[in-house]
Amino acid sequence: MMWRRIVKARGSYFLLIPSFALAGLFLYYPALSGIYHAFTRWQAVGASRFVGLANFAEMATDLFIRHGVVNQAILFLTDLLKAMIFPFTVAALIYHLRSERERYWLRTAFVLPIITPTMVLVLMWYFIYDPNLGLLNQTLDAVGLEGAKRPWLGDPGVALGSIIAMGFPWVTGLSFLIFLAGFNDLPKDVLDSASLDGATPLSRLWRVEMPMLIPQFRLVTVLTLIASLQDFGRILVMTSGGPGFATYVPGLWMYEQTFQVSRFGYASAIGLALFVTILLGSLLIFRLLRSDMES
Amino acid sequence: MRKQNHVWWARAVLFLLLALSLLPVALMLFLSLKSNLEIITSFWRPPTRIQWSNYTEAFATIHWSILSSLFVAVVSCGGIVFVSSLSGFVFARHRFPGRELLFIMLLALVMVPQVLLLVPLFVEVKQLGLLDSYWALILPYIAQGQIVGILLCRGFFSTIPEDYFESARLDGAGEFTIYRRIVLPLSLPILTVVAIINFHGIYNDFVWPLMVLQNQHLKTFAVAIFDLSTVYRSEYGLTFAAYAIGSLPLTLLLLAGMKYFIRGLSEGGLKA
Repeated sequence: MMWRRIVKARGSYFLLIPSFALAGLFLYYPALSGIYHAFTRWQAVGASRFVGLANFAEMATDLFIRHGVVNQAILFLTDLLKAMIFPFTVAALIYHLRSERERYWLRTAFVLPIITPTMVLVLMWYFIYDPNLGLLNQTLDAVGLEGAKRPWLGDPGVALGSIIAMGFPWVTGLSFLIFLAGFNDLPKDVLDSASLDGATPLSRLWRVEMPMLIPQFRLVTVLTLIASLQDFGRILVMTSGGPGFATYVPGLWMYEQTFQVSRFGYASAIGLALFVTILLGSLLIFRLLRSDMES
Repeated sequence: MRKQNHVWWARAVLFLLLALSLLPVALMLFLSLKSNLEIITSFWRPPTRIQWSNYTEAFATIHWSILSSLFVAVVSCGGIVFVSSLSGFVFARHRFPGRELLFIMLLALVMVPQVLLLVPLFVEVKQLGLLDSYWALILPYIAQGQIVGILLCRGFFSTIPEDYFESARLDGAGEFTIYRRIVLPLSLPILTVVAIINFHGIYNDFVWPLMVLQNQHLKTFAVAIFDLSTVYRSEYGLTFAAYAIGSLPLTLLLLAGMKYFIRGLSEGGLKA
């Protein structure tokens, strides 16, 4: 009976072949291969060999991982603040402007910098931090603060801070649009009744609007977690992890272990650890930031 | 009621933040018009003679990499749009055993992050002999881009009234004809959204093309401009002009479809 229904629907399965062939070859297979090989010694030549938890034991004592985890934690927390503070402020201010036209143009203007490729923006910041010609040191010179000049990316004490600060004021991007869309979807009658009750704009924002935007805060938190733990490209370009261990993150170390020394097993273990962190972190965020309306 | 509309500081804060956001882009354009010497000796002053030659030289240096990126992005987006709409249509309108299970099997893949795939996919692509070939970019991009695409398309196709399909079937049209004649034209807006968000992501991708393309002639823009900035470190004017030229494709894309883009970013993000 079942079999006949399956045969009858063969046309439908046939049309799904492209999707599943691509997903199998370039998503399922590598994902499972990565999980399996995290427990193996796997190099450029020869077959992989099962080694149990040896890769994870090595990670526990690897200085690059130890410094990397601390740096990554700092980067995640600062990325989170960066995705919240100014994007939320700008979205709130734009939403409360009266003129429809002004709202539209400001939203467009804030999205505008995405016309520059990410790499170009990263390289612009690389130039801004340039010790001799960069905008930062040039400005400090111009205003008579020569003493504050630094090799912003070459000084181990400030390199991580420089990477955190790049992109200031961090408004462009997804979180700004998510908050703005959230504000636009707020039910008008609730807001109006809050105003009639005599709430000031600020207390209305704090007591009425922000609690209703918890789904948006949750989404931004999860997306930031996912992006932050994977975005080692910016560090690769700016400092390559240096000076010393100052800006290493686990993702960058995974890339170097793969690409430079072909230690695929160890690199897979780092990748698996990052994946599990992202997965558990996302579940935790969903649990902690459950809004009252949904439960 | 909306007293804060009249508060001057709200606008002041907005315009200050806007100016700071646009600063790197402005700096790029300003410096791209100056000669190397003038960048070094008189950083703040406007150019005495506008150096259009920066642009011609930069174009000669990087136009191949931009074409590489455009080729990869266009082919990948074409593939993503095709596969997403096809499977989205089947999942939305066909009834067959295992439909939910198959859909969940694809949807679960949104949880697989790039970091888990990077190492094994690199080895796989190497074993398949695809290193230094555009397929090493295009095939994984389609595989990954289709997931959210299918989700968006399925949602959209569920809203099309059944009558459209019924009358076509009565006329004896096959499923693929229905897909081509009805589904594709109706879903142009949602497919534009899917194409634009993926184009943006692919044009910007850096680490994966850095790993799989070694050949100088194949490199995509993000990788080539990274090389250029490290190799020609002292050719500042030329480098900034190259940055500006490389920004053109995304500028044109956004001029053509800003509203699709904003919708795509908001929806793609919300559904991820």
